[in-house]
Amino acid sequence: MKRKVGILLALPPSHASASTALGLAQAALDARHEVYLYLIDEGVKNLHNPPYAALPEAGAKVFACAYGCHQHHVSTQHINPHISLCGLVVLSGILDACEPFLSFT
Amino acid sequence: MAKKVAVVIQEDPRKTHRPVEALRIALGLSAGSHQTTVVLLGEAARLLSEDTDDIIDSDILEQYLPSLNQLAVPFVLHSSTSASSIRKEFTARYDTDEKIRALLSSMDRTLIF
Repeated sequence: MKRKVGILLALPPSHASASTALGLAQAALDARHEVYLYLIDEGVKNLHNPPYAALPEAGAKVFACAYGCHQHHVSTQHINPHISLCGLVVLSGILDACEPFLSFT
Repeated sequence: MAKKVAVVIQEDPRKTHRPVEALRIALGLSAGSHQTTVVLLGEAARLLSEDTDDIIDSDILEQYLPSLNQLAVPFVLHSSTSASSIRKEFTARYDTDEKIRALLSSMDRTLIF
């Protein structure tokens, strides 16, 4: 059964959970589930990490906290145009709609 | 459908920006339809103290606290926390380990910082 898998990542590329979240997203896509990934706080530092930047082309819906990008000086000029910069209302929707929802904070 | 969401903050806000960021996230979720509860453990209780000068991003914290108060976001603190150190205007209760464990078990979503 196709599911909506929500993933929240608030940790930078140097943290082991960044690899774990990426692996889970890719595995869920391989299993033909819908993936909704929200990058927040230091998680936005993964935006320019090529495997993360490639997730939209693999079918994932990727969102990044605009406030987090500003706070952590992450440039939004050259990010994948299929990655949406947004606010917490989107995270609220992902929390609501996804099952399972996995949090890496 | 609204979810029951717990934002658990256990890190020391004097050492990392993450507790204040977690409170910002909790506020954002509270403003939507979710029933959001903030659980402050250990040094994270300092987020509700009168003196926030030594907290990282205290200026940001002071921007959010009035809204958390206005929305009556419920705070749960550990029973060992001194109530006298917590601002009185917030909706705070003090629970034991067991009650906090039971509370978290009843949640649909839990974010831990």
